[in-house]
Amino acid sequence: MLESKQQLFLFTDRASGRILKAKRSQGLDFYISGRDWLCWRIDSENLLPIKVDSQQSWSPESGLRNISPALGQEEQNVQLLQRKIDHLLSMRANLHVVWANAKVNFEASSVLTYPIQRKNVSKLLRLLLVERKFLRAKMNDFFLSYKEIVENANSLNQLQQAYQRTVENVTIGGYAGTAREAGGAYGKNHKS
Amino acid sequence: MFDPFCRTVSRVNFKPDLFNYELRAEFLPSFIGSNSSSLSWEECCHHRALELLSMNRSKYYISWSGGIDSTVMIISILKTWPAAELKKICILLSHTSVQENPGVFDLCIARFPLVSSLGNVTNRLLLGTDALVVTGELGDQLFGSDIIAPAAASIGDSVIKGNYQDLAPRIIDLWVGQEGKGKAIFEHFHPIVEECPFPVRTTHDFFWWMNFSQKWQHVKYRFVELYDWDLSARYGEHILHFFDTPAFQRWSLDNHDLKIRNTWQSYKFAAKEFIVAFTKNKDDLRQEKKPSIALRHFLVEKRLAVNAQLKAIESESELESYVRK
Repeated sequence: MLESKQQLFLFTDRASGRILKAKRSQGLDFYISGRDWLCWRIDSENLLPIKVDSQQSWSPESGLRNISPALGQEEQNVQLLQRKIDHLLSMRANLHVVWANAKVNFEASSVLTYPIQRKNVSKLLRLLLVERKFLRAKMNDFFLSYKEIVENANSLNQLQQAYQRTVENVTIGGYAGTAREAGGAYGKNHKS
Repeated sequence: MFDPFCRTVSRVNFKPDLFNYELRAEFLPSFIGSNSSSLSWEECCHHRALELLSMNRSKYYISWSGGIDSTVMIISILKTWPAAELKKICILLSHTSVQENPGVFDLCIARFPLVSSLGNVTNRLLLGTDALVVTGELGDQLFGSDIIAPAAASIGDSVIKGNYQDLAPRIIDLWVGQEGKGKAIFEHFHPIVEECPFPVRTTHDFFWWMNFSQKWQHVKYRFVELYDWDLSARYGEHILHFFDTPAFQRWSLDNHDLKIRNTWQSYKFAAKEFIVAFTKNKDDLRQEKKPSIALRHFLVEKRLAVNAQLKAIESESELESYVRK
């Protein structure tokens, strides 16, 4: 049994699913996956493995495009915000990957997500620290906008459901801490 | 209408534009008839890099996305500028740039000071200085159009050299993600083919000409869309696009055979060969074309519109006065 706040990370081969190694950690705040392997997280509150595949990257296909102009402005806004939040979440995972590669995987000789030369890692890390700050601020903005739109559209069940799904995704689905990053009060005011 | 078809600004006589725009780019019928000299791709890159150097700014922020166009830009500068002048360069990038091309990051980028492109660069880095941001925008318009990419992926590479009249509506359907929208959009723009300097036959011909003749100005000025871009920072003074020269446009008109072969992977092969000659990494020839618009354009809120005096248009009622009757 894992102690409170302790997490178990399982590293599995991407192709075969074979477990490569397990790592028990407290307060490890990043997820790890590489080109050939995936990381699964198990913590004391949620014993289901959480698959985090951080290889997604942003593209306009899943961004601004394909939001139908036939939708009302309010629904378009909600769709757009949902996509922005989704991308911030995947970017968050990407940042963690790099962080992990630099701090852990050089020593472990794992396949790197970012196969850059070791001498350049510190430069990339400095860039990532700036980006994390930007993302936290943006996440906060998006959540507040999202909340405002949905609360002003109480009659629309669909929007309420979308709101609920997003809240559940960010607070339960493997990104614990996101709601806190989104401004603290937002998490407390959430009614399930 | 769907993006980008709602944002086009025609550079030819036929005007499918939805708004009354002031043309702030080359008018193509005049440009095509002019006697501008025809240079090779390498010569265009070399001349542009020298031109930037001759501006003698104290600081150059080179925007590197990790993609083909911005890599051409940085390699042109590395090949042309003396070592002492390279000290004026900082690179604007995000982690996605490194993810896209880690080899070029090691070889060409990491030697420079790095600045995150996600934050607001205008006030902090540009205003009150003689610094210049240089981007790789407009490279796409020289070579073709990303609009073909979803169709090449789902139907196959044969669409690239297929008959444009048969395939263009379907290609637009796949781009916008809605069945049946492509026909009307295609018909709206179709008359532009009459002003192309050579007969338009393939989908590559059509979508390149559309991108080159209709979307150039939007791409040139789309940086002003972002709310965090201070509108007192101006094109030419504070920001320039590497490929925005008459020489590159002439190259595009004269070298249609150097843009793509028969596969989507070969798209921009002249630029890729230029990169490989420098990096010696043949994998760069296989680099997949990624959408060029920066992540920042997606995440940062946008203005409704900006008028010709670079004043933000704040309301839809104000915008309505610009609609073409």
